[in-house]
Amino acid sequence: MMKQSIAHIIKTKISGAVSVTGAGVLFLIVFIIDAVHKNLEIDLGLISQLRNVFVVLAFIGLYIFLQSIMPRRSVNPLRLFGIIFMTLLSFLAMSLVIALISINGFEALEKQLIPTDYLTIFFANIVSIFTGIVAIILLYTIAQLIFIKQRKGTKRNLIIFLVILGIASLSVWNQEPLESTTTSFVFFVIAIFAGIANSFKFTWIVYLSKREKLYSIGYSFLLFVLFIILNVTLTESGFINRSLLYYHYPLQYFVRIIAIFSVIYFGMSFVVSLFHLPTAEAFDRKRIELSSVHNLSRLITRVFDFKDLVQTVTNLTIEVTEARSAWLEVIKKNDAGDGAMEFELVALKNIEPAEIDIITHPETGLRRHIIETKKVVVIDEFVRDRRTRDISRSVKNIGSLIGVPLVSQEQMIGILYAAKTMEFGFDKEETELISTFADHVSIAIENSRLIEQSIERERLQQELMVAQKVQKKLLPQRLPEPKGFELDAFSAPAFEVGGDYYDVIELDSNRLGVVIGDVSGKGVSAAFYMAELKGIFQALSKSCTSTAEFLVKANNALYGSIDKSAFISLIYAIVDTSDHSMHLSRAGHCPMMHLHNGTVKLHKPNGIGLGLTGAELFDEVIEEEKIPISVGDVCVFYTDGVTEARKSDGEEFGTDRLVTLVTKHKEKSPRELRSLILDEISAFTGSDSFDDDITIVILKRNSG
Amino acid sequence: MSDFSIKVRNENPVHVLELKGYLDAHTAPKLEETFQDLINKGHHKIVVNCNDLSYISSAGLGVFMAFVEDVREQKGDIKFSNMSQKVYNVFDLLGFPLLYEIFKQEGEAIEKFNSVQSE
Repeated sequence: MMKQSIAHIIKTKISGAVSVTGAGVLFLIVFIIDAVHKNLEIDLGLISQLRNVFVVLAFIGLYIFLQSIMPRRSVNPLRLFGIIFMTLLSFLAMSLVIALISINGFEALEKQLIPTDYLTIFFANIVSIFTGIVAIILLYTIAQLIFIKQRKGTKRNLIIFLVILGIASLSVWNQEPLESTTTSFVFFVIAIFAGIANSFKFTWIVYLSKREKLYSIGYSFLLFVLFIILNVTLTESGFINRSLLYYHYPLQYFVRIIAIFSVIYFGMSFVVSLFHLPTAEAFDRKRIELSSVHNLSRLITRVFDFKDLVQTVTNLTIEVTEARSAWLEVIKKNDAGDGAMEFELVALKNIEPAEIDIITHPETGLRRHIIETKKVVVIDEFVRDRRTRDISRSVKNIGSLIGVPLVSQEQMIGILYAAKTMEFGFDKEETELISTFADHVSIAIENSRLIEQSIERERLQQELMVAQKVQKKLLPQRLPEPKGFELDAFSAPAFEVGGDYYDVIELDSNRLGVVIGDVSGKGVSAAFYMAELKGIFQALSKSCTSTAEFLVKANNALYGSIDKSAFISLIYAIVDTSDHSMHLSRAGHCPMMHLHNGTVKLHKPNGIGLGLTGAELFDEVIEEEKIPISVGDVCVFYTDGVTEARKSDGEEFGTDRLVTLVTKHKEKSPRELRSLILDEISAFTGSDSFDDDITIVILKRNSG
Repeated sequence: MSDFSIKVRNENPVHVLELKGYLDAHTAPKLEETFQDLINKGHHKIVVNCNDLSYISSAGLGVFMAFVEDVREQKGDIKFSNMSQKVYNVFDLLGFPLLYEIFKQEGEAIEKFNSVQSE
């Protein structure tokens, strides 16, 4: 790509160099022919025709050369004006030089122009070539002006004009210098009209800023006048006109048409620029608004990075209002009621934080006024305004100042400031503009915050998922399979994590420890204590010979170490597979359900919840029960999530339903019974999810 | 679920809290606030009337645990009255009757406070 374009440039340069050399050679040949012709009083015939073709070819060569050096597609009209102006000046300078040198000129004979001497021939050649070059540059530059805002038909109209221009010029090909025919005159007029048709393409003026429009008016007027002068210098008997006529009649036509076209074009350009002046400011404003709308779309893509967003906002504020400095402060927390808003400076440009501190000082500064009014505050004269008079002494370089509250969902979320060096820097339109801008900024900032929040929420959710995974690992991954017994367990937290705990551990070859517990409260705090409970159980259970002993030790470990409002209910059973008995102690937990001989008994030995009271009371109250377990007996341990599962009307599942269910399905295996219980609860609550953590452990004695 | 309300009644020197509805993890902070408020004002003799309390969860019980030590240090107490069987069962299961005085009627609880004071 790059290579190609470089190659293209080199190619253009070479063809330009070849063209200009060729043109030079041709011009020289033409000059020699002219010089020779002066001495020979004969009609050169074919040579004369060839000479005229050489002139055309030479100018085409020049055109190719000019194209290779002229700026291509220059989008700045003022630059094009400059080129035209300089070209014109050089032409007029040439006219002046010609006028100052005494040249003998031509003798008009019949319809012929006879140069009086060789100097005349020389100057006629030079002047014609120069004028031709000027005409080509003018045409090329005006064409570029017209092309700045290309519309449908722009190119077509211009081509029509150029074709007619060519035809009109060629219509005088065989005419004598002083001969004029109706046909060629008609073509001349048509060409002028075609030029006029192209003189309405002034869309480029519309897009100029007010300043540029003023320039455009000046330039257009100047060029208009200069082109009139140019036309005057091209009058009939003047040397330049005669030179052109003598040198190449079509060239003279070409030059005259372009000269007249230019007068019309720049006359029109002057008028149009003038007409656009009153609306220039409004147009400028619209243009800035438009570009700020464009900029706002840039804001939207930046909401993912708050810092980037606020800096962009600050930069754009300067861009939009042409202010010297700008800064943005946002409210950290909006404590409604006491009005204590904490502002945080998040972005600034071209101003010192210390200066901002003075300007926005909560008591003496401007911020107070903005908070009070909740409206835009404009300080036209920073030094004199009573609101800023006192602080103006400590802050330099501020003439006028604006503060715009950023409001989202009727809540103020921050303030955007801009300052200018000059006084009265923020007029009504600008204030409106910045207010509109501020509205969009508020939305962008709010969105950015929401995104940040949702990212944070997402992160917390991820953390909870990790916690959930970890907690699942805290529950037994596999249950022991004690001889003659069958076991099943289920546990599900209401939220991601919960406070229910169960464990089954083989204390020795014929003793099995079964524990089930419930930490008060729900969620994360409960989950932490549940983990602690697991640690306590793993650490203490094997060293305790009795269930009560374990609970006493567990209470000792927990009481005073956990939060006052937290406690744990626990039930602990040691099953002896050798004598088929169960030792049971309870610390505030739901009773153990024992199905024996088709009836259920709720075992509820005394005991206070863990962590509720010190050893003195706890140890005194704690009991231990010994229960024989027969073949076919079923023991159900559960947490209150089972019995307190609620319907939407508030009715609880209750202990009785559970008792009935266990009695009814006494033949079922623990696994079957467990799923029957869960199904029954779901059917009862009408929901698949639980409001509370729910845990069930079922033990059944199968054989001897 | 947040169908819970508290009414505070001054039965000088005792303050009676009338609880109504469901006291669970969602509504517990409300009760916590009320307790904190009473204690901040120096009221340490508190009777909790559970007449209209339809449910209490472990989180609800936790609130009493959180404050009972403080009020007892100030020679006050938290006593309960008018408990439904259902709510009592929850208290009983955890061994709360061993930790708190629970009365059938609010008046008895207030009376207890007053009699202790007069001793």
